[in-house]
Amino acid sequence: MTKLTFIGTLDGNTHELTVDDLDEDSGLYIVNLDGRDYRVDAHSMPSEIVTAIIDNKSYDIDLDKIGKQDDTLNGSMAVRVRGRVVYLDMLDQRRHKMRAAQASRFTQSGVTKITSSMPGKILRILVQEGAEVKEGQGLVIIEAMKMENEIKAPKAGVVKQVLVKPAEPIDGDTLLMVVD
Amino acid sequence: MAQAFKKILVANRGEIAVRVMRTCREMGIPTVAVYSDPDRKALHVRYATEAYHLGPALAKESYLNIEKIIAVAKRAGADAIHPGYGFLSENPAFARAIAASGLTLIGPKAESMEAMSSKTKARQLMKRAGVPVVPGVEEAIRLESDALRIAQEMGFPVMLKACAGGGGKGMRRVNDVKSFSSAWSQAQSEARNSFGDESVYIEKYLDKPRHIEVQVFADQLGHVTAFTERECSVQRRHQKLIEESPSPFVTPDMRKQMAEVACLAAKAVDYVGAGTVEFLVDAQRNFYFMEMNTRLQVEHPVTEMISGLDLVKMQIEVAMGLPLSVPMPMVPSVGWAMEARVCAEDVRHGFAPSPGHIKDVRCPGGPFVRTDTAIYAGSDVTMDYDSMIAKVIAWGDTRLAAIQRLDRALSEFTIKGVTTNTMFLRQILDNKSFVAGTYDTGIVEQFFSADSNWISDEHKSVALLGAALACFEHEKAMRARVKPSASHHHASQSSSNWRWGTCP
Repeated sequence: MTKLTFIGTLDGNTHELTVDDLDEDSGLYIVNLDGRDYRVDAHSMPSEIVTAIIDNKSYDIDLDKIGKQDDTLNGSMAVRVRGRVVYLDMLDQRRHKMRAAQASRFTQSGVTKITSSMPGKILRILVQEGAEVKEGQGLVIIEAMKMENEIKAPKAGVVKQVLVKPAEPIDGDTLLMVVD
Repeated sequence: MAQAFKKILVANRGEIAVRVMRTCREMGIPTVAVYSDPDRKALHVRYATEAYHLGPALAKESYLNIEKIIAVAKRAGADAIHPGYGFLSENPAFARAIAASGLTLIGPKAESMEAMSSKTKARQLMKRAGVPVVPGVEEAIRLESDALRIAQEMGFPVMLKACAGGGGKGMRRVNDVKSFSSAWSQAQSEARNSFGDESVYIEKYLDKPRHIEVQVFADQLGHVTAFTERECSVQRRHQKLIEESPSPFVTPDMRKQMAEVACLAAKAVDYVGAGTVEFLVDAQRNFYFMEMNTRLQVEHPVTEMISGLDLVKMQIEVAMGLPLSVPMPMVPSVGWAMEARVCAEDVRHGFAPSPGHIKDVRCPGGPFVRTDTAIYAGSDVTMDYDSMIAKVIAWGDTRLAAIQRLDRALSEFTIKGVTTNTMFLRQILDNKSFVAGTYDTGIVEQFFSADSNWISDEHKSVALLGAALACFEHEKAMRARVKPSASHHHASQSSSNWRWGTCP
């Protein structure tokens, strides 16, 4: 018998979930979500899909972890339920606290790291180190899947560092620039 | 004069290469695939009778390399080449090189392509043939300063378009003087990269027009026929997302007129094979010639669904010299068909391309549903090529039935490994103005500003429960692994039932 508590974050609201497996291999669980008990009959299918019967309603729940895979404090997931995709974060209590502590440290600094949201090739760099940029100003143009995509400044500031060169192939989540 | 082809080389990749090969297989014609480095395991290579390596990922050195492709065709003993769409499909130099090698292109003559491949030349030609065109210039503009002056005279907003353009590449809308310079260089650079020709011209921007096109077909004996129009107004950045046929906006009179004008356009360039005449239609139902695509379109399946005809088979027969055997001047249609383009794109992050490794795919099934795709579990969606990975097409006896069926089909489509726009497509199908059939090319933009309660509390609760269960089982498995005990064997076995790659 195991009983564990998790914190889910969805649209900025946090939800407490306690999962209790009544009997190891039956696939039956009692899950308490925000104070309400759900009796869930769940079985995993290949490729991170769960078939779940909740109050006799049948769901295929399709889970995908998103963002950095190696970060143990990243619980971001895209969860598809009846064709609707719900984006949420799910972490156990301890990791949730660790992440909250980390996040508050980061927001105090004014440094913004500009990363690529997609893999591709650097086509052009639109600003130089030391340049002042406005919010929404184009910084880098990345080519991927035959389209040119402009990465814009999320806030106004000064370009402290440019870490990529034109024609350089990049992965998703590559650090491109630092704006302060 | 009709001579059956012995072997057909398909000079393309992805779903369209597979789609063409399917018809060839039905006709008993062996096929030859060509492929680049990252496409060795691509479905078109596995589906073909023969396969030949072309070169590196870069299209210029593989799918756009005319000499290499023709050399493969000769070596393989193919007597005809199907170009699919994109790549070399509208390249007159390719058509000429094929003819010079004694092979047959399954497509129009080089001269017809040339007349239409330059948007500016096509505009001149159509004007002369009496086909209405969008107001604008008929010449390429070399200097940015000239372009800016013309744009100012015409009045903003204007459209910058690649003279050699198509498929939304090298195309930019400019609203004011301030954004002109960056749009100009982006349009030029995209035009250069996509078509090898950086020349750009200017058209007046029509505010939220509809984009409606007519499929035409011509044989080598001078017969031309038209199909019921396709409505392609659901676009984002000039990339079509959903297409349907017929258009809910077109009246029977207008349908007849558009078909006549489309046939006129085809005849003006001595057209042979499958072609599409694209029109911009304003709110008063005036229609203007925009361009003619001298190839098979991505959205050709909707026409196949309502006409019951295989357009690729017709292309092959016409290329063999057979006369058209379908009704003229218009092919009748039954019911309504709709197509959704599934792309590896992350809608939440500005539709950023989302390449990756496909872990699992479950394609939609059921009556009157068709899925054209080249992805399979274990295949890769690379950043080298287009982000469209599948087309889902549904037929219904009425428009509403087609919408409901397409929505149902998309709800069944499960693709693991890359982020797709599937939910976004379903949201459009659910959109009021889409359902009412009153939409125009502004629909995607309007849609984003509209509030949607697409995700209900039920979806949210179930998602939370599912995610918590996954994390729970993951945690349990981790604990069983670190804690050696008498039940060790049992624990590691039970954890294998829950393979969660999804939790930290």
